[in-house]
Amino acid sequence: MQFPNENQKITLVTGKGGVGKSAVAAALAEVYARQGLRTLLVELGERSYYQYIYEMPIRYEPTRVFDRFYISLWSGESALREYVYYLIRVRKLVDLFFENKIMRTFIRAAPALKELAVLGKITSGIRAWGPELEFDRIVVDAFSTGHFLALLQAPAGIADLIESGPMGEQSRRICEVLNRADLAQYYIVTLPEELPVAEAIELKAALKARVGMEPKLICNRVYETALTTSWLERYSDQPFAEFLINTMKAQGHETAQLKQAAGSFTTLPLIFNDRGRIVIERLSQALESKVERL
Amino acid sequence: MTEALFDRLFNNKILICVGSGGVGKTTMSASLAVAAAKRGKRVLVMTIDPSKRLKTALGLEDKSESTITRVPNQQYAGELFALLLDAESIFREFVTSSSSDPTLADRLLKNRLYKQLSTTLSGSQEFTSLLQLSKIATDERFDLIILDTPPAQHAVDFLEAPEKINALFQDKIVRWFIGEETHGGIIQRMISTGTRTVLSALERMTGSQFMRELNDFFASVRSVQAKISQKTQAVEALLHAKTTAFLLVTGFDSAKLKEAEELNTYLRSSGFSLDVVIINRAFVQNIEMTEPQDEALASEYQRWRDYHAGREKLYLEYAEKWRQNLTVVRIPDLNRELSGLPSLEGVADELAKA
Repeated sequence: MQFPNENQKITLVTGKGGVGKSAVAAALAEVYARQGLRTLLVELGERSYYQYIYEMPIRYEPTRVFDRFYISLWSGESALREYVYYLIRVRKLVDLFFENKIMRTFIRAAPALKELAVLGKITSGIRAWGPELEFDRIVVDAFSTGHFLALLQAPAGIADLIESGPMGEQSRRICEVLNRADLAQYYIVTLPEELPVAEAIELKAALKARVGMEPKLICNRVYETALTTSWLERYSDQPFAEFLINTMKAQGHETAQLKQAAGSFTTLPLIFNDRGRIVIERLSQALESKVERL
Repeated sequence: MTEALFDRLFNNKILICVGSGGVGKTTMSASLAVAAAKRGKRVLVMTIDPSKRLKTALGLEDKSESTITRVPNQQYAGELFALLLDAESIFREFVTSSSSDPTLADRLLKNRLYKQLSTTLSGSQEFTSLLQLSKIATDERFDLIILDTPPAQHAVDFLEAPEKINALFQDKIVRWFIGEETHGGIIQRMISTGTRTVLSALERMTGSQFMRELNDFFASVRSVQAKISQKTQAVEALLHAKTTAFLLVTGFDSAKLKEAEELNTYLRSSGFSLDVVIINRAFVQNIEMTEPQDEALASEYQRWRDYHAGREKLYLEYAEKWRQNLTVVRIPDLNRELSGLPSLEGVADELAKA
């Protein structure tokens, strides 16, 4: 079906925990913003991670970081609240709904509701459903592997379960957006290390099975140097040269594995800095030339 | 970690490793278990979702899940056991065994909302690992149980899970949803008017089919309710017990450390006992090497050394702050993949050196 706002695109970033998923998502968002797109970087859950990086409070409503670059924190409950308000449109009733002690408890733990609300929010701009979301690009720092697949399972599960009624209808629309390669794209972040590579390969297949399109792979923290291992061999009696040789060999092995199993991927360099803000800035510079427009 | 610290840590009955995803919690839990076995403890490590190699190292690869296994090829003063948790089957078994009515239990397991409940997002994985823990806690075969917590976005999710699950199963909620309320005084009548309004709002939102499914869910939930709330209390008591200690594993960058700091505050204010933080992959071993003679190599050396000097500064900044009420331990980036029990022993040795 045709959606009201097909100019907006969604980028979802996932990967194993600890691979630098959040940094890569932020770097992608910075690239889009600098390319002139009004970009919203979204983190999911109840606690913000970017608040520590950008050193500003991050809430449900977008916080402006710099020109065209905004960040939001969307929790299941806040998205659900907005959803209910948009549907019922009577503030008093919505308040009654959420102040109801039993309803509150139910919402905290209820299966699928919050996941559906969050994905509903992410796709709401394209579907023009709910409050306006005036952005060209939504970049989501999504959950890591298992949680991300479970998140995507929610609307599909509900759509199967409920054939009639607003919730089933919403779920089908959400799935439709998430399965369209011209509206949504998926990035899997990994590292040139054994476990992250193995997980990325599995996740790529699982994601393809779920959304029907090829996710893109980004191999983060690849040590880049002008020195070659064959040159370094000359100094192999020196501990530092040996350290570099080992590092390069190990990562060469892992990137070869990745290439063999998953085809092409984008590499991002290991940034020799420990401040998140600087790391993201350098990653975005490295991505600038590599990111194709959707 | 000094021997005195190991002593203090391993004298607990339960040690729970928390931390956000990807920081190396699972490897750290297994290595701590090895360290404890070496020091004469009969120790069980409970793990969730270990890598293939770790499974092999612990002798769990051919074992069915939820079976306690004696780790093969060990020669320790104590004894090392491992257990792989399968949350879904434990939860299912729990529902079946604690239901007062087998037909209702069966109905619950078949409910499609229940299926969504048993995914990783709902907290049921956390709940079941605690269920299992409380079941084994009194097992006299073990001096110490080390629990590796499920992968979560935030470590706090783990601690909040039992209450979250319990709340869903509470009698009040169930009665409310299936519309079984006593129609007594005026206040109760007012409550049910409110209830009807809210329920009809929910129905408008979701549709009647969803409401039917929900109703069915709550009707069948009743049969396990008593057991769930009893277990939740037991679990809460266990988490707060004097012989239960928490250990925080964190990654190493400025934002991760700030996050860890917040978690520490949270744990303390909630009355949990946390006294050790392990910063994993905090430095590269032996990077302080002699500067190479060759110019190109020397400039590369400089780049690595400056990077590590910056990280050293960052480490000291936090270590100093945390040392007031925590023991801070850092582990190098070991730059090698796990293979077999000896490599876990290697990490255990690093812990001892740290």
